[in-house]
Amino acid sequence: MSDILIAALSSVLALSTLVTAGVSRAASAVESREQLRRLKRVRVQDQLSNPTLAQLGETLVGGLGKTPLPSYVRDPQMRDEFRRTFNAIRAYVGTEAVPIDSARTSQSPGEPQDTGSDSESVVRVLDGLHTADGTAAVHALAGGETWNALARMRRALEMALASRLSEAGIVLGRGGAGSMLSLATRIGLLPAGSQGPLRHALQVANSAIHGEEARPDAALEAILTIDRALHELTGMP
Amino acid sequence: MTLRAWSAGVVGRAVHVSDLIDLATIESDDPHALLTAIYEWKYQHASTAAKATAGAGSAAILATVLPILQTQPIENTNWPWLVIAWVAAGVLVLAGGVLFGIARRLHAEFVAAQALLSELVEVRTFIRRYRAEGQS
Repeated sequence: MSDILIAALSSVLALSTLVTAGVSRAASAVESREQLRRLKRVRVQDQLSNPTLAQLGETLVGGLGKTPLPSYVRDPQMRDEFRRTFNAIRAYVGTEAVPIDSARTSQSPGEPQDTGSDSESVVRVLDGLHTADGTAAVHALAGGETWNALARMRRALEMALASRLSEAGIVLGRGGAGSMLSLATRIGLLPAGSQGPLRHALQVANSAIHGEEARPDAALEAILTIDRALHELTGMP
Repeated sequence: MTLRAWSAGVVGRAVHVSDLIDLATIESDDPHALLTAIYEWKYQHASTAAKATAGAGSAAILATVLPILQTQPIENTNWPWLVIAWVAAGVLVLAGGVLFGIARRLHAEFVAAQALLSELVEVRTFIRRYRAEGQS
């Protein structure tokens, strides 16, 4: 009798173990396959070619966020998607440290000095702006969106620099805004005196993008500086 | 409760990247320590399940083999049920071994998770910003 009881008990245990293992394995395989299919549908690469905050965020949080860690460890294709997304986010927010050299001493003459911190004075400077990005950034700043304003200007400057340098036949490596700025100044795309203020503006933008508090007057000054540089870069023949 | 949810409850739910995103963005000085705690729980869970399963199989084998060794004459033994018990016990011991293997392989996932968490911590401001924009 005890043999039958032991056999029955161990059979039930063994069967439930096999069912649990089988279902769990099948569920994890299905989940991995679903996730890969979802990523293919999202077309991560297309979204990363000209990203916005919403697109990048959706790719990372909404798309890649659903990946189970075992799939990430097993699947090299999945890891590639993550690497591409992180590179795009770093490029978007900018991680390169931009050193300041003679930042405040070489400001070009005629630069607006009245950069009051209230919304009224922010809106007053709109007339002096040269680019659509600058106007949108000042509006964002007036609305209290310092992060958005500076991220937008930094991205616009990077794109303008990359475009002008590539037109000049310069092959861009892995350098960010700082090294592109040096190159652009060296080959005359930007006046030598603008490098210092631009580096300072990029540093203000970087700090804000990385979560540090940026004073509205410093943010506005950075926007104006980058706006002038954008005008110089895009207005050149 | 679905079969899938039941098996996830028994085996343990896999850590997802969204869990790491949450860890990276919460107000914590050391999200890596929190991740380490999660993987310690997972390791404890896997190794305890392995011990329990292998232990149950071993107990079934011992409980059926010892009486045979002590019983004279051996002809009175109920062989078909004993074979069933041994097969089932063998499956349990094997499953325990597999679970030990899974527990041992957790370190690879742990290292990958820590590396991924570092990348996420680096862009945590971006993620917070994205979430804030989404909620506004």
